[in-house]
Amino acid sequence: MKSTKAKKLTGKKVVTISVAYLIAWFFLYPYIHMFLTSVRTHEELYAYPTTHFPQVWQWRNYLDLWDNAPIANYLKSSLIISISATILVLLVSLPAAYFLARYRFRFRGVFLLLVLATQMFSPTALIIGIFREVDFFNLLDSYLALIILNAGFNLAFSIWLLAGFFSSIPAEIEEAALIDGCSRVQALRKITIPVALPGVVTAIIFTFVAAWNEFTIALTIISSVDKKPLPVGLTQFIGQYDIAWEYLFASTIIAIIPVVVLFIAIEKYLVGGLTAGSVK
Amino acid sequence: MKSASTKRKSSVATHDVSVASALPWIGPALLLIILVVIWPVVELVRISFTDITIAGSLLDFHGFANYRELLANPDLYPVARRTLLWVFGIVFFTVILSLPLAQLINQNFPGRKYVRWALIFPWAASVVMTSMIWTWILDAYSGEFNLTLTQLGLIDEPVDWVNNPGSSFYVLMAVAVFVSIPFTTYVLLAGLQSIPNDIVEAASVDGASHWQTYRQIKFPLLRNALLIATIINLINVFNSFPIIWIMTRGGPGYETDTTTTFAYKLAFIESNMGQSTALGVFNFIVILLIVSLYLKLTKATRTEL
Amino acid sequence: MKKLTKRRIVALASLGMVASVLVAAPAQANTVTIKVVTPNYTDAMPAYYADLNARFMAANPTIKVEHENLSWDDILVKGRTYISTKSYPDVLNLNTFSEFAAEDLLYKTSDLFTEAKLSDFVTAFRDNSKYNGVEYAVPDLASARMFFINKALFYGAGNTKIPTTWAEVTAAAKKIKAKYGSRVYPLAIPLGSEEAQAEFQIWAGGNGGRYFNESTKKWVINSKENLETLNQLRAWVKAGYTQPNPASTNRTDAFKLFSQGRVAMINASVFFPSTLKDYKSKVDYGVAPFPSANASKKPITLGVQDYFMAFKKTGNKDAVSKYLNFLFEGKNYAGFLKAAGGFIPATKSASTEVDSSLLPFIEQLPNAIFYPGTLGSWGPVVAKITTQIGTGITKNPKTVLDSLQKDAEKAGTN
Repeated sequence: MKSTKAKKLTGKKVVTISVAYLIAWFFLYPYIHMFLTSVRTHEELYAYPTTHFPQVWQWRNYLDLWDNAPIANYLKSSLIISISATILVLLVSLPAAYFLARYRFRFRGVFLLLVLATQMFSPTALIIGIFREVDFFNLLDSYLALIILNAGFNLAFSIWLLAGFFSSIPAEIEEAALIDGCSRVQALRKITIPVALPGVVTAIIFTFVAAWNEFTIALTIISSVDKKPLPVGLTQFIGQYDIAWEYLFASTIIAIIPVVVLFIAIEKYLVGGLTAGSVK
Repeated sequence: MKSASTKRKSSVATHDVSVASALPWIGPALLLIILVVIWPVVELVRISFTDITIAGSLLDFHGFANYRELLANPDLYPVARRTLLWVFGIVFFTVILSLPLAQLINQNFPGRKYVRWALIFPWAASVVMTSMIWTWILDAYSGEFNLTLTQLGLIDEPVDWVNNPGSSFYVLMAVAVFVSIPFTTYVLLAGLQSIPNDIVEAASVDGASHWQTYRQIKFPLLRNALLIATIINLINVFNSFPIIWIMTRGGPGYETDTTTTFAYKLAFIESNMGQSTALGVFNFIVILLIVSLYLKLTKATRTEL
Repeated sequence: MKKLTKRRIVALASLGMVASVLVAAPAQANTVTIKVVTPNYTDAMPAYYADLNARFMAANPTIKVEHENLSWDDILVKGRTYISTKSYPDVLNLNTFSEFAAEDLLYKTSDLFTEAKLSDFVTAFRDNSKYNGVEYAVPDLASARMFFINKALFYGAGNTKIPTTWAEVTAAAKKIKAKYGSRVYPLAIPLGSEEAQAEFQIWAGGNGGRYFNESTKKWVINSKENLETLNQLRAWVKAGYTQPNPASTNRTDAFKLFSQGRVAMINASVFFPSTLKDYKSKVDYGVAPFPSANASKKPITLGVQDYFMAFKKTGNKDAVSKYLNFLFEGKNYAGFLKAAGGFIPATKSASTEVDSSLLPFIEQLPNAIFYPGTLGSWGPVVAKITTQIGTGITKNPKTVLDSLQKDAEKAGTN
C-alpha cells in the first residue's frame, strides 16, 4: 500500500528511514552505554570529567566476572526457573484458554474477572504473604516455589492472549476433524494448536522474559547462593560504599543476550501472536 | 488468518456447559491463581486488620486501626496526587508516542527489521537494570548526558537531572515511558497488521489523504489493540516500583514517591507494616476502579458507534 | 579491591566444604543447622564467609551453616520479612538490635560468650549493645567520623588552618568559592536517604544537639540546638557553598565528588581512606577533628556500630555460641575486618594491630557520641529521620523537625 507512494516520494522515504534509525538508536543507546561501561576499569568509572568511550578497554572484566561471582550457577538457576515456569504456564493456560474461548458456563465471568485481577497485584505488595505461604508449604529456598510463583503471576496474560487466539480460529475446522474421527484432545493438538502457534510463541516469550527478570520474589524466597537466579545474584556487586558497576553491567549484558536472541528469533510470530490477542 | 479473524468471532460455535465439565480445563489455572495470588492477597488483607510490632511480629485483630492511621497520615495525600500524575501521564505519553512509532515500523523500508530489533531491548532487559543505566547516564558528574550537553555548549555546569526538584519526577516518568513504549508499540503494530489492506486501499482510491485514512479508517480499527495496550499499561505503571526506587528512593522525603513505593517504604524502611498493608489494599481498590472505569468508558463509546 | 587470587583459594575452600559436608552428613544424626544472615559491607564478604563457614563446619561436624549474604538494601527488607513471618535467622548482623531485644527474641550475650571473651569488646561499644541494661548483641565493628579536606583546594584558596568552628567553615568556604567558582564545591553535605541521619547528627552534635536525651529519657529531635544546626546547613546551601540538591545527595555520591577533586571539605568516616584507594583517587587529603558550632562547644565525633545478634530457638544455643566465638577468634575476626574494609575493630585485642590510618579516628573515640540505638523504637525513628531530615533544606526546617519529633514520640521511648 505504501510502496507505490514511497517510490514517488523518495525524499519522504529518506526522512522516514532517518527517523526510524534515530529512534532505533535511542532505544538501543542505554544498552550500548551499559556495554561501554562494562569494559571500563573501576577507577575510570569515577574519573571526572568522564569520556564517551573507555580510555582502556578492559575486556578482562568479562573474564574476571566469572571468578568474582558464580555467574554460571546464577545462569543455571535462571534457566531452570524460567524454562520450568514457562512450561507450567503453557500446560495450565492452554486448556483454560481453549475452554474459555469455546464454551460458556456458569461463573465464566467470575473466572475471567479473577484472571484479570491477578494482573492487578504486584508481587512487591504481596511479598510478606507470599513468604508466609511458601514457608507454610515448607518450600523456602526451593526452585519449585519460584517456578510456581512465576507461573502464577504470568498466567493471566497467557490465558487472555490464548483465549483471544482460540476464539479467532473457527470451530468448524475442529469440528471437521472431529467428524474425521479425532478425539477433542487430538483435534486440539493436531489442528488448533498449530494454527495458534504465534499466540503460543508470544505467551512463551512473555512468561520467559518476566520470569527471567523477576527480582522481588526470588530475593525473598531463595537464600542459598547456588539457587540464586541472576538478577538476585548480581546484587553481590553492590557493596555498602562502592558498587562494582563494571561487573554489574557486564553480568547484565550477559543476562540480556539470551533474551534478545530469543525475541529476535520469534519476532515474526510475536507480531502475529499479539495480533490475534488484540483483535479478540 | 490474521485479517479474517475479526469477522469470524461471531460465527465461532460456543456451547453452554456445566461448571463440572469446565473444571478439568480451567481447574489447574484456578488452583494456580488461588495459590499464587489469592492466598497472599488474603494474607495482605488479614495483616491490614492486625496489630503489628515494630520488629514485625503479628499480634491481635486490630479492626480498622491501620486504615485510620493511614488516612490520618498527612504524607499520604501528596503521594496519592502524584500517583495520579504518574499513572495518567505515563500511559498518555506512552500511547501518544507508540501510535506513530507503530505506524512507522509498519512501513516498508530497508533495515526495518533492525529497527524492530532495537525496540526489543528495553522490553527484554530487566527494568531494574534499565533504571540503573539511566541513573548512570544522567548522573550529574559522571554521566554521558551532561558530558554531551557540555560539549555541545548547551550547559556550562553539570545539571543534576535526576535529583533537581524541578526535573526529578519528570525524569522518572520519562524512563517509565521509555520502558513502556516497546510493548505498547508492538501491540499497536499487531493491531495495524490486522487491518485488511483492501480497506486502506479502497480509502486511498477514494482520494483520502494519509492523515484522513489514518484517522478515519485505521484508528477506529485499532481500538481494540489500543484498549488492551492501555489497560495493561495502566496496571503496570500503577504497580511500577523499580524505576522510582532505584533512581530516587522516592526521595527527598516522599517527594517522588507513588503509592506503590510509599507502601514499600512504610513496610520495609519505616517498619510500619500496618499502614503499608492497608495502603496495599487501597492500591488494589484504586487500580480496580481505574480499570473498570476505563472499560466502562470505552464500552460506552463503542456502543455509540 | 578485586582480590582474584584470594577468591580462587576461597573457591577451592568451598569445594572442600562441600566435600566435608558430604562425608560428614551420614555419620551425624543430630546435625544442627543454623542460618547466618549478613550484610555485604564490600564485595569481599561472600568469599570471607565461604572460607570461614567451611572451616567452622570442618571443625564442628554436627553444625551446618546456611549463610545468606545480602546487600544492605536487601537485608533490611528480607530481615523484616524473616521477623514478621517468625522465620528468625539464628545469627544476624545488622545496624540495629534493640527492636528485637524489646520483643525478647534474642539471647543475652552472657548466654553466648564467657565473661573473659566479652570483656575483650570495647566497653563503650558494649554499653551501646544493651537493652534495658542487659547486653543482647555484640558489636562487630564501628566507625567514627572526621573532617576531611582536599589539601590542594583548601590551602590553594589561601586558607591556612583547618576550621574548628562553623564560622571558620563559612570563612574557608567563602575563600574556596571565590577562588574556584563553580568548578569546586567548598563543602559536601550529603543529606540523601543513605546516611542523612549521620550527616545531620555530626553537625548537630557539635552544637550539643542530639536525637534523644539520655538523662531525661525524652526525644529531643526538634530541640533548639538541632534547629540551629539545620538553619546553618541551609545557610551554607543557600550561599552556594555546597553541592546541589543536598537532600538527594547520598554519601556515596559525595565521596565520589571528593575523590574526583571537586569537593574541598567533607565529613567522612573511618573507612574513607580505603574507599579513596579503591577509587584510585589522586586527592591529597588532610584529616582533622570535626568542627563544632563555636569555641564554647565541645568538638565531637559520631560513633556508629553494627551488631551481631543471635535469635533464641530451641536447640540452637550451643551452635550459635560456637559460631560467634569462632568468628571473633583472632585471625577470623581480623579477616572479617579486612573484608569489611577499614572499620574500627570492636575488640580491644584487634585494636592493637590496626592500620595507622585508623589511629586518628580511634583517638577521637573518647569524644564520640552515639545514636540512641539501645531504644526499642530506634529502628523506625532513625528510618524516618534518614528519609526526611534532608527535606529541611528546602522546606521549613522547624516543620520538618517538629514532624519527626511527633513521629518519634508516637514510637515511644521503650
